[in-house]
Amino acid sequence: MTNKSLILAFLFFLLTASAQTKPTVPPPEPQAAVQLVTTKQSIPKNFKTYSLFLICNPQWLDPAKNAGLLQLYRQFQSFGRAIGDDHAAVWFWKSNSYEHSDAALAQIVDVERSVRFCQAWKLTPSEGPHLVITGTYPDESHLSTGLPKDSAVYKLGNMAPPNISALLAKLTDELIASGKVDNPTGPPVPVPPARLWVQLLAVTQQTINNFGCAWSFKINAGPVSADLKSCKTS
Amino acid sequence: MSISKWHPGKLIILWSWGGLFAALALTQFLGSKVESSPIAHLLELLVALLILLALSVVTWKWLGGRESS
Repeated sequence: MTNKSLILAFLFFLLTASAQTKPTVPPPEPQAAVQLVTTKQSIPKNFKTYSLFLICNPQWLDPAKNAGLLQLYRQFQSFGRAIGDDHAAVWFWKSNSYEHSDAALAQIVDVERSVRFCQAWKLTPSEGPHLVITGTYPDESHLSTGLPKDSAVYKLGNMAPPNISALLAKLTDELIASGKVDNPTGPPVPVPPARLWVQLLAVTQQTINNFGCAWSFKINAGPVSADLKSCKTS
Repeated sequence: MSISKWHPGKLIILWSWGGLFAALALTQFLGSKVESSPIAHLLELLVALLILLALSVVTWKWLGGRESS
């Protein structure tokens, strides 16, 4: 055997050996498109913002909603990829079987985990699903502190898929451009209670209004008749 | 201003104007929510009440002792 053939054989061995030992892991998911598979996994830290997709509405657990749910997930996944590595998009799953089939998609949504957020942040389930974008880390062990101040809540319950896509595109623009989003329905600003004299004045006004609506004046003078009512009743 | 002699016509004029201004003030008071401007609403209510009160006092005083006549 010549030296040339020996070198060729050695190179072939190296190639086959490296091919056998090379790990066959799938390409990693983009960091921003966070998928929480099990209930034991915590939300990753060190992101500028956290976009949580919360499904607390029992209507979305209907198997008939699987197609819509999958579409929502796809939209949210695209959103998670588009907002970049500095922003986290979080969807609570119980397992990753959605990759194989969407037949039982509703069953593997981690509703219980979403419900804990909805309860703590006073989100009405029937208005959901909700998209909550916050600049504060959503620490599940301290949910009782309520919705963080720098949060924005979007109610997607009555929105059509095209509208949701448009909203996610708008939010992507805002997150990329300024690193935050407008606050459409953040935590309600506490309204100071009205002073006593203002309350009394309001009660007086209400009483006079009610009294004014309680009467009617009717004139019937032969050919001329008039019916005067103080308030319009619909 | 001193009134030399009371006449029912003067009371009618006073009540007409007073009633008009009191009604305007009351309409203003009832037209919007108190919480929007509490002070303005308070003044409107006080004006309406004071006009009616003043007219009542004037009428009461003028009618005082004239029940028999």
